[in-house]
Amino acid sequence: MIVLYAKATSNGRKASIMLEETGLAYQVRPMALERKEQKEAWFLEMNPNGRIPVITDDDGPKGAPVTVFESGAILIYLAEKSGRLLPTEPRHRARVMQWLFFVSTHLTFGAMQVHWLARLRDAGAAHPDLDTWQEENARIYGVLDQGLSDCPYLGGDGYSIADIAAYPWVHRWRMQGIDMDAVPRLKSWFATVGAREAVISGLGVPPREDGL
Amino acid sequence: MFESGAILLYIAEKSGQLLAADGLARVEALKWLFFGSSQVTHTAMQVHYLLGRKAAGEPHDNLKVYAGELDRLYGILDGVLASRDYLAGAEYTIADISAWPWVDRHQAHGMELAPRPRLRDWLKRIGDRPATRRGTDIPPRGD
Repeated sequence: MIVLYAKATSNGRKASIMLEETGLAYQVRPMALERKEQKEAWFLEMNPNGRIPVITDDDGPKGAPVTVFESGAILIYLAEKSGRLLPTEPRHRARVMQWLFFVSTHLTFGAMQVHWLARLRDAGAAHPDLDTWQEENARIYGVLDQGLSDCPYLGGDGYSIADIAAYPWVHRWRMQGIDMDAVPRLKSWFATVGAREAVISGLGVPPREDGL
Repeated sequence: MFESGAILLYIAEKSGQLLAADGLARVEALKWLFFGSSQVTHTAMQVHYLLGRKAAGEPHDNLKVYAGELDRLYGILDGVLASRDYLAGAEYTIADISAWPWVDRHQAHGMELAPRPRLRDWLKRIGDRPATRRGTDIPPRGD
């Protein structure tokens, strides 16, 4: 059985949506980030970086138990375990990997900076460079929009782990101050991906009460 | 294709080198590849950028935050190397390649390796590889 240690944050949702998409059996261990549970010794043994999500799988490679951290690594692990959402044909696979890394690095960090600095602003604290990061994040949204100019999904004709990595951050576009009308192809992609059953159910794992 | 992490994976799978095809070794390499490509790269890049602004007399408000975070990440790398020679285990992999060029700039980033002896040894172990020596100067840079 797979166990997912997470909260329904953007990074946590990458893993929960993927688990829902693959149909693999899993349990959820909700993490109390407000109590810094992810910095406790038992969790740091699984991920020394003290961040969610983490999964454990007692039926890992060759039947051995395995622990996986880093949402991008979790997506590849689950794709290779299930044989889903990551093409094996080299050309198509390269395109999926390219966008998986683009969103795991640029979108994830750009949007994360905006969230962090916007929270400081809302709390009345200093929030240097919020404008700069909002501009950078909007630029990244533009790159995603460009990537969708000749195909319906980031990885090409088929839905893939690259879309799953991007969706939970784009889901928070309002908080990031993004004008979705400026990125019409991404807006259309957002509606298509957001209508998937597994995406809808994955967003609510584990359930959160604030509706975000 | 673009994105250095994706290029590393592509070349590893094309050549059949520096990334196990399956098993626990593959998963371990993927974990640390993403750690290097996202956490280490992003944080070191911010330190690099903000130190440049500081040197130019421009605002660099979050430098302390990022420098502290980079120090924490160095500690994680040093910690995992306590039980292994390379980030993903006994074998050199693309995970090491993703982190090495950033750690190699530790002096420019104001990071001390003396309190991180295992990271220091890892830096040298990889820096001594002929392919690392050749690769760091491609394309050649004048400075």
